[in-house]
Amino acid sequence: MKKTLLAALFVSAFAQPSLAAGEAKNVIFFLGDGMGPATVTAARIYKYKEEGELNMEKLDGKTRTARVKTFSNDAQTTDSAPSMSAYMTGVKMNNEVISMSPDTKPTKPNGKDSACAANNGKPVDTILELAKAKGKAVGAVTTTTVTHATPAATYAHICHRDAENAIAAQAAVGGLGYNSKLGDGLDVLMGGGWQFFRPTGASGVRTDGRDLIAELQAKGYTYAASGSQLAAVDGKNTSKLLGLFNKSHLSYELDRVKGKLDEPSLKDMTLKAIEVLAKKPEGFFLMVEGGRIDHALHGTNAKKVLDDTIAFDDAIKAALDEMQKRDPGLKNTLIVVTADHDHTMTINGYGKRGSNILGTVKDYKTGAESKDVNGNNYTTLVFGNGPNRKPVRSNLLEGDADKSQVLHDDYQQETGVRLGSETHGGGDVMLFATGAGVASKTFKGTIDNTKVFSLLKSAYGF
Amino acid sequence: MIEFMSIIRAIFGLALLPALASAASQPQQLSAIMTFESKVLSSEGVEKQTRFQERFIRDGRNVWTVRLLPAGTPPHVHQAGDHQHKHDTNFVLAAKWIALDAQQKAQLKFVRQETKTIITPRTEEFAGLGFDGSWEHAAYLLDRSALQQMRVLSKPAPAGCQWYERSGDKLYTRVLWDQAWQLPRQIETGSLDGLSFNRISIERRPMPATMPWRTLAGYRAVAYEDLLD
Repeated sequence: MKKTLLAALFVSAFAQPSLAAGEAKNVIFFLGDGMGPATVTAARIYKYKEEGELNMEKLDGKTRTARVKTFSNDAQTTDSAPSMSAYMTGVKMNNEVISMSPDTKPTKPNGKDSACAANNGKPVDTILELAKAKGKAVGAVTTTTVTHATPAATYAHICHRDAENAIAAQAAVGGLGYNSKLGDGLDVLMGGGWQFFRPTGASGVRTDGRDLIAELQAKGYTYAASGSQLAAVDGKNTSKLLGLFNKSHLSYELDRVKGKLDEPSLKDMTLKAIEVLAKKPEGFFLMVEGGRIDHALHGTNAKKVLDDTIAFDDAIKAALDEMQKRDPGLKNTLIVVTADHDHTMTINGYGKRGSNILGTVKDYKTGAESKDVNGNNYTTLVFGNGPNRKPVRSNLLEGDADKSQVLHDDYQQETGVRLGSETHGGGDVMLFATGAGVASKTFKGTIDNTKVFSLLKSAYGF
Repeated sequence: MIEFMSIIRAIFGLALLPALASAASQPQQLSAIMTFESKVLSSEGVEKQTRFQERFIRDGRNVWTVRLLPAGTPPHVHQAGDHQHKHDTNFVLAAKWIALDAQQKAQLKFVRQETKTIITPRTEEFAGLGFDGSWEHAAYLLDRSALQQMRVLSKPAPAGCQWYERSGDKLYTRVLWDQAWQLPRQIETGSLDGLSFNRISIERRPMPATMPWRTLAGYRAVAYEDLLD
């Protein structure tokens, strides 16, 4: 009898996920879109100098850092749809595809309406859906449209990311096209993109005449349309929150602050989301995206890249502090910070320590301007490809009087290969993790992006 | 045009006399060809020259500029994936349409004839795309009042025109201003050591039968930010 009991104990122990001791009740997944290693380093220097640290780099004593391979099912260099989908589902799929099986072929939508054929692949479960099925509160927060690839990969399934009308419908509880895997619906959804929720007659782009905001309000959602409206929401007494603060993407952080725009910061949205979600005794899953880091990188505007990266990092700090209050020591809260892919921005030349990272390269010995073979100076941050390749290079001014000067808000860094739009990079990205006991310590080494899903799942004990 | 305006701003600075534009911002209808030329001698002994032309059309509320392609210009190469998700944000070959709105604010749009699309950036994105938002710069190609701070040259000029010059330690700027056109006929900039030289020449042409911004029926509106990602 004793032998049987012992055997049962052993069997039971092995049958449990090996991480059961560190089981996470809550997961906050931070995703810096396009935030490759050079962006992380440049943002660190920009805000905290060479010797400093970003908040994301301080997670768990800096020891829980992994490199993530980001290739997609069909591409050496991924786009945000399959890369975020790999994190959320554990499945590699083709570029443009959102949380579907690997055989799904991307089919360009009609405008913003889906053109996916019925037999074109199958939906695959996301970690957000699994969390919902376990009774947890779930949410997604972003600075892009809430229907953009990254947030969409948490709650929607579609053969092409550009079908944002159809993606919005997947979040509209009980309506045509609703994703029933979301049960009673997302508990928090915040970002931009109200045009995909409103009909064409109401300044939206929906061709089916539906007003999804009204539909969601009828289902009990509190709706906020501005930063001040969000600030007025009592999160403690709100269980369903929809916030759409711009017709399209939210503004770049630099424009939001300088223009005193009535849009919430990513930190504001993150804290409000936690307030709403953390009430659930079963715990929660929250995805937070710094989505416009990627857009500024495509535009080869390093200043906006770094400002948006710092705003993302500040949201991480705010979430860490808030969760420490709610869950001291983060015993039951796993926080993961990563990026979905790299870009072609690089840190260039032998610059002097302490130089402005947005400025021109200063020789580390003499402090004099470093020059190219034609005697012209050049910036520290440059891009492998993009639109700003001049037929003839000229000397640069380290001022901000106009956009031709390298410290101006709208200066575009120079590029190597001239392309219409800067591309993503195919290099590995970094991942930082903390909390939930041993769970965060499993994120180590060089791992595939699909592995992140299984580590999240194990951390939850699913 | 957009590149040109960056040059103009670099020449004249941003702080100059913003009030004048609103007072007299009804330019006459005018059509012209702008020729942009540059020459630079590198430290490796290579002289690099560039030349391109743009059509310029304006009326009281619109300015339209578009690149002119010489015979034999190779076809424009699209990036792989342009027709999937990746989008072309190279607007060199798109028409640039700057129009005054009801609030008298200059609004920028890019018009692609090839795809019959009108691409609209947000106001805060104008500067990143090379437009400083100034109707004065768009319609007259410079801040006219800045000419008053330049030296008048006695250099021969066509009737109704006047040469102006400003010179610093290393760089000079010369403008041949046509008072009747309310437009420069020539802008020259360069280094005093002769190593670099830029010239923009403007020659008047007949007005088109139909203004190009009136030929956009059926064009599809696209937000500039939808071209990112």
